[in-house]
Amino acid sequence: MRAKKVHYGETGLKSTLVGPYPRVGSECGDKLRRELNRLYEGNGDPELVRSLRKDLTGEVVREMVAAGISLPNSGLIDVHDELTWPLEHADGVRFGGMKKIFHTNIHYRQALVDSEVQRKEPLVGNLYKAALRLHPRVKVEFPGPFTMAKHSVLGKDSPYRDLNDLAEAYARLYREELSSLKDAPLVQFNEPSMIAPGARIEDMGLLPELYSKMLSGLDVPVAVWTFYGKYSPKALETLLSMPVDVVGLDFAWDTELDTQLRKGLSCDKGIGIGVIDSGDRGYVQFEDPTRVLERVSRMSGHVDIEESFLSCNATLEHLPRDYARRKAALIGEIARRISA
Amino acid sequence: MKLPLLPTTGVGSFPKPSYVTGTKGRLDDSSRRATREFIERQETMGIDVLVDGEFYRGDMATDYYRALGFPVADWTRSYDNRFWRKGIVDKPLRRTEPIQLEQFKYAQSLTKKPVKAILTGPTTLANWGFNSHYKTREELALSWADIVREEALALVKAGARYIQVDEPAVAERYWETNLFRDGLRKVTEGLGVYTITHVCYGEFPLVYPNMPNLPVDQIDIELSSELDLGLEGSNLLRMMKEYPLTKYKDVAAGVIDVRPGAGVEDVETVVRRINTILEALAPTDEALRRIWIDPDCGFRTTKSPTVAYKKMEVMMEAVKQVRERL
Repeated sequence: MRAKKVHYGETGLKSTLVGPYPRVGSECGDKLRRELNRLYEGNGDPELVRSLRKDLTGEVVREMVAAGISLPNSGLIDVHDELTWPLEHADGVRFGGMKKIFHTNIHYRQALVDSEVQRKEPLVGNLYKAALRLHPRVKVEFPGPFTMAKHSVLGKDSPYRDLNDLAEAYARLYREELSSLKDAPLVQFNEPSMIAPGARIEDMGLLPELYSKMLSGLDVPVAVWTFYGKYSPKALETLLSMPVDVVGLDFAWDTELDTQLRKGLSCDKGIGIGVIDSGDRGYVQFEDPTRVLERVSRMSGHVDIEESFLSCNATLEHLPRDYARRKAALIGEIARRISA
Repeated sequence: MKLPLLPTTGVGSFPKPSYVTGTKGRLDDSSRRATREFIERQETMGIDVLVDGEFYRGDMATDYYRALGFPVADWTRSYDNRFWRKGIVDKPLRRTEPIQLEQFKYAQSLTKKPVKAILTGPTTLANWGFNSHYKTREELALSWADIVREEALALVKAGARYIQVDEPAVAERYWETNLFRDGLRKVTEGLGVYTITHVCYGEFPLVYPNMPNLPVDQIDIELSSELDLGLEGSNLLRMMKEYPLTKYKDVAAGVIDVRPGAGVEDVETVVRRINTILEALAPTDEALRRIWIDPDCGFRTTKSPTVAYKKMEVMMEAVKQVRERL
């Protein structure tokens, strides 16, 4: 069991966001969109695209911090999609068909694995470093090895027995990456496939061991984040026994989750309280801060608030930038009020 | 109209020439010119059932929200560098004027060949926007179905012989397949013309078992990446071979990858893809006569008209070679 205390330089409930942040909706973002279109048409300037991406990363990190988010991510404004992007930096994988991410109209590229998966270069690139220059604490975020495997296809020459075997290969890839991320305040693995519709409870049993192998001997604070689904008692129990420091839960999809937590499940780690709706189900309302505050306060007897994060349930890319900014500000404000 | 073996068609959109800008659902002089040029080019290539290229369109969902007077939010991302704007249903849905009637009439006036009238489906319209009015998703989706139905009736009255209802969102909420079917039925029931639903970029093994029950004559599926996996590698193709959908429906197989950066396929690749789909879906001569060939989706995402035309030419050459062998 890891369950060590993680220090982020502040006390009380912290706040964070999940996944890529909306990238258009500002002058810089719109310019990047147009320049990328030009690049795809054969007329763009790759150097200008690189420069605009760096500027946009700075812009979105500043925006998150201004909204009161205490642990921002880098915005991930350069990823094709949130599910398989790290595999661009690995050998043994090519990209095939495009599919929708769960119930959303955001698409990912299916990874086709033909041979042994090997990390060919760092997965975290210059944009993360650019974000760190603007804020002392920026979390690193990846699609989890289990979810990435569930969105892959094994070619006929693949050395892996099945997708669970592939998940272990992806975990080894991440293990190599993690050893170079010792200074990260938190490395978050998003694992919607653990609970999203279609998840199989028999797969859940594999996960603690998968993460144990991936993290053993490493001294990096790690979170596993889940979303887009509801939690069976068994799934919740398994998640809370994962060898990680923080477990992110989707309180927007599962409105009964508070009751489950109150039933006294043993929890020795921080909780990612994903209570602000990211808009993935087509609702656009903005939450009443007082009601969210009351809901989170009721959890305080069962959740270690000092070690926990208030957040949206999933990526704010389901929303346009101006809505995302308002949601981020809501998260920042409620976390501050609870801590006060 | 008598169609050849493996009839060819398009899915809908085509990259806009540089002279077409800012149409947002309205037919103007520039989109008329582009439609005219595109229709002529399809006729020259020998496409059997034509599409209008949708040069007037801003976005397949957003235009409907705009046409019905709903507010439209700023951009959200779909993948990579592709974005669309979500409309917001904040009051009851009500169609006050035709949405695509003029556009269809214009395209059909340019050719003696049939032009498909292409509508966005109720499930997709419900999923690709925000809802702050209807209490349930059923109410929302079925209200959209009423709107699309009104439009379909107007198009049939105007002479449309092929009505395609685009439902790329079908596999997003596979647990709502019955709602998808009910919405589609509301749109297509009793139209008295050939009906199609186009689906793409989803986890189709989850919805394939329900496809025989869909109330349309043809199901048009994006397939090129599955066909590249082959019968051994693709769960969907294995399902198709075991339970051929052609027993119940005509099937249009997408054999051209329209995604940006996909490059122009060589003819051999497309012949191989067509042969693979025939192996999966055409166990009998009767089943063979139910298969159509088209691109995976509208060509709009291909960005370049030149590349898109080359891809269409490759498709037509591949179909010609396969037809000669059959």
